[in-house]
Amino acid sequence: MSNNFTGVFRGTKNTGVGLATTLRAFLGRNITEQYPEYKHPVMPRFRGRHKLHRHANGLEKCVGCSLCAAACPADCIRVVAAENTDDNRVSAGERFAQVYEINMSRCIFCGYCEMACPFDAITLGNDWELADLNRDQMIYTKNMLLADPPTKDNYGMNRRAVTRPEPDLDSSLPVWLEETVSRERAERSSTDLAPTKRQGRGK
Amino acid sequence: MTLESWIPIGMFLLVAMMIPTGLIGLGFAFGARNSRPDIGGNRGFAFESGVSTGHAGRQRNPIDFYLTAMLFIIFDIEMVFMIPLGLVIQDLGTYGFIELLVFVGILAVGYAYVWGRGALEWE
Amino acid sequence: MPIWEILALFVKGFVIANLIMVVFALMTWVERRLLSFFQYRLGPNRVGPFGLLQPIADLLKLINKENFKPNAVSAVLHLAAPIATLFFALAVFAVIPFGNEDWNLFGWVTPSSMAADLDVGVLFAIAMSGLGGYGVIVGGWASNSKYALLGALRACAQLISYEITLTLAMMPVLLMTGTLSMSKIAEGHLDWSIGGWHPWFIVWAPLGFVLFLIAALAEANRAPFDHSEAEQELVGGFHTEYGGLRYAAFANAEYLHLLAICAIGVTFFLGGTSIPGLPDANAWLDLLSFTVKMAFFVFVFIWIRATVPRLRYDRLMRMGWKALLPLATAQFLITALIASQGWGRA
Repeated sequence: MSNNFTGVFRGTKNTGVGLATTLRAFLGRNITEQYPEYKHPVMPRFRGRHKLHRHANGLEKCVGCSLCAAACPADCIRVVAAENTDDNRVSAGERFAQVYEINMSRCIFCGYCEMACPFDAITLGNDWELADLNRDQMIYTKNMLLADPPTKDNYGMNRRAVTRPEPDLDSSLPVWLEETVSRERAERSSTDLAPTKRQGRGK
Repeated sequence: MTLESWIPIGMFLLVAMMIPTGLIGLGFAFGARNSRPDIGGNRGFAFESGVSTGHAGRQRNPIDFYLTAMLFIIFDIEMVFMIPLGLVIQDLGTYGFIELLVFVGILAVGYAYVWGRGALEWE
Repeated sequence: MPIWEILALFVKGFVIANLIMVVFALMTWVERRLLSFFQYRLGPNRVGPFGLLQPIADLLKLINKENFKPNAVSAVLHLAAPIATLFFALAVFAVIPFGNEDWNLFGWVTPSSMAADLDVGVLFAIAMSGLGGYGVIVGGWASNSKYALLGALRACAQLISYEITLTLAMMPVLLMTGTLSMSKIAEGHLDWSIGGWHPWFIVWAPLGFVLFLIAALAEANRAPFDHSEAEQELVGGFHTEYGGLRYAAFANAEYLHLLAICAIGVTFFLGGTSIPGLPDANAWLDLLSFTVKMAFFVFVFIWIRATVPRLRYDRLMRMGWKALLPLATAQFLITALIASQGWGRA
């Protein structure tokens, strides 16, 4: 009996302490950030969306050596190199990246590609609004990575076309690559890019 | 107090009946239709975090619930007697208070018995 | 009674019941905002100014939901339970007075309570709020789910355990006013005085008020007594198998219960519509003071929800039967002594 009533008083006291705590929170300032209007600033060395860089004369720094792809632990970088020719000079080196794709839905933003790159062609930027509505759009092509990060709409989504232009693989493709590229293209169109069809029992 | 004073209550109860039925009727009228009734089998199972539900939901339940219900009846009857007594206690004065004490005293004996037998314990 | 008056009563009931529904819609917003403030957050502030249109967005979403019924439920009871719960929750408001004086609407004089000033208003309110438990247990049983049934059983055992305390905590006021009419109870504190003052009944029965507050939390299934839901252990309790507007009806009833109990608490312990120092206010001021007092109650309830974790079920029952019940009886006997001796009667 007495135990019961001391319990009541103890409980009352402890509840009072708790109520005071929450009341302090109620009167205190809230810490909510109004996200689309206010974007939390990141540290300078924050590792966000990748960027590909150009030399001052406009040539790409990337020479298509695929070291980044080799270093990538998530295996999300795909590079297909091609030879520079005199009338089509893209990079400063012997070869250039015909295809440079990063699958952002697999990337873990570890920065190993940055470290592996011998020409500082790829760096990780500060752009972190990478959400998208569709897995296909998470594959960033070379043109997207070379360009500045696009402006975002209210929900942090990229303001860009839903359909992404296919990389033009046929132009100036070296002979020794033709087979590989066409095989890869066939694989991709059959697996990655094909819309998944749900097999359900129809009516 | 005549029966007529219940008419306003009746009208309010009518409204009180209309609102929930109307609300759920809205659900019938505008709710999404199941577009795939042919695969409706599994989604209709009772919730069990995706695990097989095993036997049906209606099963034997702890006796404590029934015990509580019985105790409730005893003490609610207490309230049934106390409310009329409480309403007139100012007129009855000391006599009424002593009556009340006797009643509460009898009840307290029963309460102590129930407590002592452990019916108020919950396992 | 002429037929036009019956129709007028119907219209009055309809308007007021819908106003209650609007208040309920606001309550969901108020609760979410206040809870957020208690947690250093902002809460819903996107839909409309300050997020005020959030309840409407929620309602539209719920209307658009499929009217879903699981496989093995009792179809009729599954549908009837939310309707009954909401019906009983609304019915409580039939006897709650929101003002002292009669309202004069275009020459039609009508009591300021919701529907009528019954002689047995208190009994009616207690009965209707108790009957709400049926919706809970029927819904839990009809769902044919273990979680739902267990939640319903727990809810019912809790409801009936705390109903005794609730009624006993209200008894001191009944002892001192000697009436069951809600409007007379609201004015009842004027018959009693301490040194020329006419304090509210919270001064006469402070313990009763605290017990009423605790029992009201349990009665309205609010945290820390929300064992009918207990989302961490029972998924959703008795409404596990409910969705869409059927679920909305349960949630609706819960908030209406809360509002009704707040209104009863204001009428009983906080002097109804009276404002200290203002002997005779007008009807609008009455309504304002009643609303402010109710808002205070609601704030306290949300404050408690933001603070206190849910009690373990056996401790809940132990507290109800072994602590609150004797304490309520003690307060009852003390007040009975005061009332029977007439100490402090004005």
